[in-house]
Amino acid sequence: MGLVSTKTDESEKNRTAEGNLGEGLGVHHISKHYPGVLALDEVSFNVQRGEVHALVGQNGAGKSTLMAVLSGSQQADKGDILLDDIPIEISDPSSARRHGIAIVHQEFALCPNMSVAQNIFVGNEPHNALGVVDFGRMRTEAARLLDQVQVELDPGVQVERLGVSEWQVIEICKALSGNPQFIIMDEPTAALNDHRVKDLLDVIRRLRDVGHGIVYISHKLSEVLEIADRITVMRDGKIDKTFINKGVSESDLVNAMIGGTFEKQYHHNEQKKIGQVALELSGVNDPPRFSDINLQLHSGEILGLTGILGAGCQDLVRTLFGINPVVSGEIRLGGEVIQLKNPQDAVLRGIGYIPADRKHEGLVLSLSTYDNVGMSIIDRLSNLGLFGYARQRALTGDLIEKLSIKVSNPKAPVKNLSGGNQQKVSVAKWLARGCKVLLFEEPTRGIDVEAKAQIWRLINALTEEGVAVMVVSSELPELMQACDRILVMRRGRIVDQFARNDFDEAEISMRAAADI
Amino acid sequence: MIDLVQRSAISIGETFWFLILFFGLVLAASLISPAFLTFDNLQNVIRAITVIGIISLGMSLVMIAGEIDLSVGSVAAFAGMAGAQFVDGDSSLVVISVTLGAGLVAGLINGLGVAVFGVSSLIMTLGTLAIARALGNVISRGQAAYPTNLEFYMFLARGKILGMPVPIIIFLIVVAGVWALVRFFSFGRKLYAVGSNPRAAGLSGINSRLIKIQVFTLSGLFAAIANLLQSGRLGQIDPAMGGGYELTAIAIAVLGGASLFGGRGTIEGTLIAALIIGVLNNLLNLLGVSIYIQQVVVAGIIVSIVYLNGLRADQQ
Repeated sequence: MGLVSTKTDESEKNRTAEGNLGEGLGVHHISKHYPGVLALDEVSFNVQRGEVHALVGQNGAGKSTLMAVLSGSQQADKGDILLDDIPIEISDPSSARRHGIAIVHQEFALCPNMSVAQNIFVGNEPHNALGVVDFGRMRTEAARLLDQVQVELDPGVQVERLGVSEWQVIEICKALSGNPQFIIMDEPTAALNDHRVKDLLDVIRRLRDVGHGIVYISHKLSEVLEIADRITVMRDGKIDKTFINKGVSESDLVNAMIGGTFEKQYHHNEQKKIGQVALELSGVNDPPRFSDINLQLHSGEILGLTGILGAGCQDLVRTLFGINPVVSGEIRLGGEVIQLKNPQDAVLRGIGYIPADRKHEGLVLSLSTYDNVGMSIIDRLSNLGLFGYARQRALTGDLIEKLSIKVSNPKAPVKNLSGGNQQKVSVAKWLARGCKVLLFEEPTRGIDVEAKAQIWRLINALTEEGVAVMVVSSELPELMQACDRILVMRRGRIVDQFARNDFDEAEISMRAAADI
Repeated sequence: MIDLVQRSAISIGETFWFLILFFGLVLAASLISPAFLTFDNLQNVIRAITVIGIISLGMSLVMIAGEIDLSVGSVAAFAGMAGAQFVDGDSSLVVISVTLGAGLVAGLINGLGVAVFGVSSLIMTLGTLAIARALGNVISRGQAAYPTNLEFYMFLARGKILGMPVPIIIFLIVVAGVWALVRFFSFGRKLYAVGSNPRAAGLSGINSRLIKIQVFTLSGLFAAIANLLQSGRLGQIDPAMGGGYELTAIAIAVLGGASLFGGRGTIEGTLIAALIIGVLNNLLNLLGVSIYIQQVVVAGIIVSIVYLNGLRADQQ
């Protein structure tokens, strides 16, 4: 195991130990306070040219703050930012750019109706002496940047016609257009499926090989191990350890992240009883999204649904929640044929849906935890239209406790909660209604390891109470640990079914990807 | 009390700050003009804002739901002219019912257009703005009508109960009603959810279309009530009534904390905002400032307060 340094107070020693650590971009003993939180505590960190330095840690560990300081959107309270051992001042994002530092944010900031080239140079358009935009040069420059990352993409095509993986490449080109020496990438693969991730990692390698220094932030440890030269683990606003990526394992990283030993066990209860059929689909069609779907979901069961992007898993789940109409076929709930014309129908039938996009679909971020948990039962909490605030607080308060949602003030907007806690709120909303069928879409996306384990434990506990759970996820290892059964979808059809005893990662991936 | 505080999307701190501003203004006004702080004058302040105040309440509901209603002034005029068709019939109740009904239907059409047919509220209500104004002129042939023989009709605008002007009573009843609706009823909870994030609200089983239809319908109804109060006071029902009211109403709603993006705003905020406008106009009147200069000053102050409010919000 390539452990080179521990604890920030030893970083002086490490700088000499590593010899050339003064080169590149670094921070030296920086601290940053937010009201009530020490977000960064004497952190020292650096990235050299021609290396990928990954930064991992749980939500709230301080990664985002550190990157905000480096990219100029936040200022540290004390400490230095060093470029080749010379202290520099980064007072805002444009001064970061002037020093050759670019950031690729997790969220896309693209104009869908403009071309690839226009997006790459948005706000920074090449122009002639009169200020007239030089579209020709913009196009050739864009083509040059795309060539540099070796991605074949027509600079003239409209962004809205492209997919998320192309968007990610465009964001990277946008960063490259300022000709930076250092690029910070915040969860660049969060929105991509496995195949596209591989392509993106290739792009990152090429950038490294031509001498860019790259800070790579990700929750996906397998990617980090694949791409990084060094891996730094942050915890509670401090640097915990920096690993040289040689013989490091995922569990080494996880243990450092949580500051202890972590059992990578999503706690599958082998003894639990799987009950009767809760939800049954026969010949359900919505071409071209999916066709001829036949499946049974039992109460107490966790049924995994996996496939590559566009295979129809999400479409199917959305149909089961009444978002898209069923074109033909039959859906039975507890044996009774049901019609789902809209989400209200599904909710009234006791079906709950936890969407992948927590922030836009799962929660109303500006409302409180009480309000969000109680959102599905506003009418039940009301008497002749009069809303029962006391009942809302009692009922949601119980759920907050039961799911151990860490919330200091349940009256404060949920936007301040961590991703894991937000996800729990999103689940609690349906427990408040007593839903018997829960449809999860990417339940662990963008949340940290510990929270992931908690979410899976929660799902497991629900099934022990007889809830029927369907989970769509691209995280196959997680599905394999938690599910009783996994269905594989490809091109809108269910192509295979695996019972728990037959789970085989390679086999399932192959079935999902075959002929593509 | 804690109950009251927690439930609104806006914190009590914001309303409190606003209240201080209002009383500061009242204090300043009473120092500047000795005539300001008299019982009669304070009644004048409130009476002057009843019409636009009621329209602003409807606007606030629509804006909290994340939409906008540009048609309020035209709908008010249209509703009045619809009622005016029956002005010779000697029945106040008929005229009043037709006026209110016409406002309600116009609002309902806005609501259906936005919620069911998916037309953006900006376009939908811009259309209604033109159509309602034109229809008002068509059915009245461009002529004003005179309701002065209708005793009860006139009483609503000019009467007094126990020394209190009836329009002020009506205004306060509407304010209290809407405030209670937003604060104590499930409608309010759904309204803020839909306005803050219609997608998430819909996926939680809330019927966001219904909420939107409801707020537009209320807005149309309130425009009609505003017409009753104004026409009675002036003694004529005028097809040109209400031109530009939409902008004043939006300004009051925004001043009161509503956002063009929905999910924010309170009824008490709107009330205080309307009172601030009333006090400013009244003070400028007492000082003998010309009506045009008044408009400049009031508009300037609205923009400044909204700007300062934004600064304060940024700091938090």
